[in-house]
Amino acid sequence: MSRARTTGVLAVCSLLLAGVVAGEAWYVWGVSDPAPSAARPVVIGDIASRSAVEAAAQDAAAIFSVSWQDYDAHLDRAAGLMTDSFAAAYRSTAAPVRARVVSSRTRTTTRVAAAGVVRASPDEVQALLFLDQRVVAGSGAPSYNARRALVTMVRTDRGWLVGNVQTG
Amino acid sequence: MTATHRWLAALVALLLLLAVLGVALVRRTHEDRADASARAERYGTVLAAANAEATAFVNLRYGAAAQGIRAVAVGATGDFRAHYVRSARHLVATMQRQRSTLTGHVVSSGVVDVVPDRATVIVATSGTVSNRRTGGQEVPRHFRLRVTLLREGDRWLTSDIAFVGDAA
Repeated sequence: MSRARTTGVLAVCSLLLAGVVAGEAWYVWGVSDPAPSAARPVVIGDIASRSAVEAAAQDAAAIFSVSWQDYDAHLDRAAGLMTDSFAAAYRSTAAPVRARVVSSRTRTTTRVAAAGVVRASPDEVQALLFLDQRVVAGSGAPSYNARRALVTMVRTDRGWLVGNVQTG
Repeated sequence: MTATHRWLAALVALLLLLAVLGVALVRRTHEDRADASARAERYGTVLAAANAEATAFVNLRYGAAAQGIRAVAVGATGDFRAHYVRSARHLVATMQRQRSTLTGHVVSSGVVDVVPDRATVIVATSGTVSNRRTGGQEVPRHFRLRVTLLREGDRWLTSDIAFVGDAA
């Protein structure tokens, strides 16, 4: 085989193999993560989604457990569990709630009766929570509420934070 | 062999090695994605099955009680189905005597846990109830349900429905 022919064969082999390696790299690293859909609502692993749902349950129990005696401190603690934008929205709605809670000397204790994952992507998880609340106003008898909450958890540098809460 | 040939031969050998390693990586990635896709679809399938069963469960009309009960039974299995069907005659009589109508829809649902042949889903429903006690008026009625499902063949069937706490 002539030198020129050998050079040509080696060059073609290099190009072909480089194409194969590039194709393999694209398949492994170039395909983006699938987005959640109705047919595939949870596109992350069980452990990751479970840890986000557990964080949602813990945070919701903390956010919805409040006493008139330390309402302002509670507000700061609760805001620390939220994304900046949701914390701002939460604080803006807190003023009228604070007046009502303090004037009626209300204490609310919340526990999570059940929690499940609704949708989950690597950066955002939506959890359905069933909340059992015990509410005592002043020295009155306690009342009990069975509520539901749809909590959106957002992955941030500070871990999973509450990005939104819808209650019903 | 010239220096150029040596360089090209080394490059071909390196690319060949990368391509062989790449095949293994592509194969593993493909298997991981197939597993993830099956898992993601499982979430969608169990949520759809639980939503359908919960919808049937909270839609019962005294004028069409038998059809309503049949709709629940179609998506049920095991002791739950047997018990539900066994008590159907009593349930129909009670509904007709009370002129009961229960309507509702699924507001949200989330997967508590799921493995290939078993799943637990929580479902929040919203709707109304009317009967002799309400004077025929439709009264809001929200339920928090825990639905247990079993996989039978290619279907997910309900093996239990339990209320989580009281109706809110």
